[in-house]
Amino acid sequence: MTDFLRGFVEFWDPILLWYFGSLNLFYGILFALSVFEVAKHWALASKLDLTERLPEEAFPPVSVVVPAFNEEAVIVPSVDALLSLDYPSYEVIVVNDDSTDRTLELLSETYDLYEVPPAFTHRLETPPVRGYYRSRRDPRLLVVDKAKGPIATRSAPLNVGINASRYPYCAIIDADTIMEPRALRRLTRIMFVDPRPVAGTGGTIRVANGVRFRGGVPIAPRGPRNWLASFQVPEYFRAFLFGRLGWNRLGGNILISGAFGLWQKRLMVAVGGYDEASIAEDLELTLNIHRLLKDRREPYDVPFVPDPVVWTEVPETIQMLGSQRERWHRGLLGTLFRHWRMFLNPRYGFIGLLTLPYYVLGEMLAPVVEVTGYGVIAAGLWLGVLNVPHALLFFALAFGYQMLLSLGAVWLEYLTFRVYPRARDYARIVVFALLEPLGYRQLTVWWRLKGFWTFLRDVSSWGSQARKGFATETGSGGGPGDGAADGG
Amino acid sequence: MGLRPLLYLVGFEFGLLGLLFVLLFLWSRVRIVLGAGRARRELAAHAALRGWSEGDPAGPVRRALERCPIASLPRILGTRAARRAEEAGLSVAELVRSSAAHRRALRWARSRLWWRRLTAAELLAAAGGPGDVPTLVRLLADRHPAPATAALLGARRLRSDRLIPPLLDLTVGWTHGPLSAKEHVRIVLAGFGEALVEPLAERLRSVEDEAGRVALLQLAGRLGREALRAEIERSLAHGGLEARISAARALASLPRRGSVGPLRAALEDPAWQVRAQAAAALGRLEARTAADGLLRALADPSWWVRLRAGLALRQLGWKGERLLESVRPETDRYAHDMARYVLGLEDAAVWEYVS
Repeated sequence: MTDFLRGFVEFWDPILLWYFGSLNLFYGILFALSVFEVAKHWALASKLDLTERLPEEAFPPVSVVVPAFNEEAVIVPSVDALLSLDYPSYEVIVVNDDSTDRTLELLSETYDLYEVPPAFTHRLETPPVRGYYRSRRDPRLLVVDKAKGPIATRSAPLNVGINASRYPYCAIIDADTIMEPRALRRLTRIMFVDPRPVAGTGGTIRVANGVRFRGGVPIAPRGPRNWLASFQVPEYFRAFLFGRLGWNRLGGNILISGAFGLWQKRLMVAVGGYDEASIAEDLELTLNIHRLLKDRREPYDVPFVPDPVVWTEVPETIQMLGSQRERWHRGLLGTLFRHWRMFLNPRYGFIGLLTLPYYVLGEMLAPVVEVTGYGVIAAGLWLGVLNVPHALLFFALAFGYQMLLSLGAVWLEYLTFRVYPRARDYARIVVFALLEPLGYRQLTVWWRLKGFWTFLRDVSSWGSQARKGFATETGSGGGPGDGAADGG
Repeated sequence: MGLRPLLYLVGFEFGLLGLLFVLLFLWSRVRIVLGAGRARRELAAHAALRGWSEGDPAGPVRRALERCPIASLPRILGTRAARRAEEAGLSVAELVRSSAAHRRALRWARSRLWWRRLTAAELLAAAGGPGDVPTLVRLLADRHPAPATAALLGARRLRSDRLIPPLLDLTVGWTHGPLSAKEHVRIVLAGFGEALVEPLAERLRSVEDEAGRVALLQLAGRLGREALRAEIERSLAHGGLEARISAARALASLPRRGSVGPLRAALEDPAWQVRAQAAAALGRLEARTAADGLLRALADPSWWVRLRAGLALRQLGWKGERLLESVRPETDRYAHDMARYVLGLEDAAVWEYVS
């Protein structure tokens, strides 16, 4: 036993140290690149904002597609916010995915729906649709009542929404997400300044827990009170402000979040829409589009833009957060396995040679490596081959570095967009960023490991979701919600 | 790897991040200082413009504009103070054109930096004069979408006939920006009105590729001039499907009398997409004389043609509704089903699909 453990420690020790060193070096580079990107987008959003002076007809018309399954707690404020967007030409398509609660009734009562002919081109295969309803109150709203399909994922309602859309761009947003009024305008801005055609783009997702809204506008946003939601705030900052911005400079993003993204419809149709078999349908679609355009050798870009913002409820209970993170990791595994041919394939440029290897080594295998690392340290201590001060120093370095990265993301956000007006909210976020490696991180590692297990067992469930609703000027307090917002 | 090299590596990474933080902090300070200076000069220009609109001499405005960063000029020219000065009978644009800032901006139109070319295009869009047309033509052909889009605004403002040929080129060949950008070009071109008719007809006569013809037909439809009818009708017999669809759609925007005949003929087109578009166009024209053709189309093998024909008959008012009611299941079951379906639709639903 002792020999085995000694061999285990000796084998893993150098691998883990190299992994730790090189991954963190890469994070540092990604952070540096994101600083340049923030500066660029800051200039585009301020002194170079051409869209401020463009006439309305210059903006591309957009179909906003909202899949809704049992969303009675959030659907009305969410649709209200979407109908108040400051954007010249758009429609909102809510796809009721066979909800068992009052989602459809609420929509019908609130927006005074009437049935319209099913005069939509069926470009994508979908489960049957029971009916199409237009709002008398606001003709930009179309509600599609979809019957249940064989697999319960977000893909089927999204494909139904794409079929029902009439504009050349589709924006995808979750029903438990509030879009800021100017978010769509900011999201389309990049199309006027990117020298390559924009295939798709995504914006920032922020934590809505604790924020009150009036007509889609956050009123004096505050950080969440709930401790679990508070841990997720620096996580979201890190994921969006330095992760995805950094990738803009390294060949584009391979993940445009399903909670807030915009795509050319022709490309969505060309790849067959969202994959109904996939749990990570947003990652799958993004990779499919990258693959299609690289195969066709068409120039394109998939940039992330930091200033369009949507607000989403994040889970406030361990059970729901665990289920979300397990599902994300299971989806990541499935998608990366399906696209293994792109891995280290020079045909796919940066995506094949850098982004996918990073996702495999730095995201997919990260929980396995981390747990192995804990095992090696424990075994080393037990065998007496590792001295305690050095082990503690190593922990301090590892956690200190993670804290530093989180603080960097918080600082970047504070210096630029500063969504929270009160300094004390940032102070609280900093505290949670510092506490994150001491317990919360290990929990996420555990959930991600469970993702491996459920992936191997071929589990395809989406998991349960519960909503409490957004805090509006007249509404009740905010609460937990799963949301497919991808903070990771 | 032993602990010591690891410490060096991580120490280096910490140092790198620390350096980045310092740079980030310095950058934010520089940005604040520069931004404050720029804002101060912009405010001074606003104040001078406001004073000018209230009767003060033009000298301070000229001086304030000279001091203003070029990049701020388009924004200042779009403000209320500038508009008030224009309303007061004083042309801010002329004042800008006579300034050194304007001359510098024109030089920026040839810059290698796209954002400088953008500023130049935006300035021309806000204050360009007839003498700036050659620069605008150059910017319209810019390889970067931002200056080209801003130059479109300049073209809209100047409306010089010399801009029509490059804009027609863009209608066919624009590859920049959003997918809907060609529609923006068409809207700008449609603003040229009568001056556009002859060059457009000429292009329609000479265009060879289908995509180009479709783009020009869409422009012709937007313009809706009788003088373009011959070319549009000729496109109804084009070999390309998209060209025939666009021609049918364009005919709906021309005066009814001449359009009904060709559209009735298009109801017999081999492609269902063209037949459906022809039926929709006849409905839009409220062509009562085509009611019999629409009634026949109600028995078309394609569901889309039947729907469009049914909706078109609803648009004809009581006459069309009577015809829909007269359809019997023994004549054609599908035509009967569609007639019942369309008659059962709310007016709002019909309106949605015909508007």
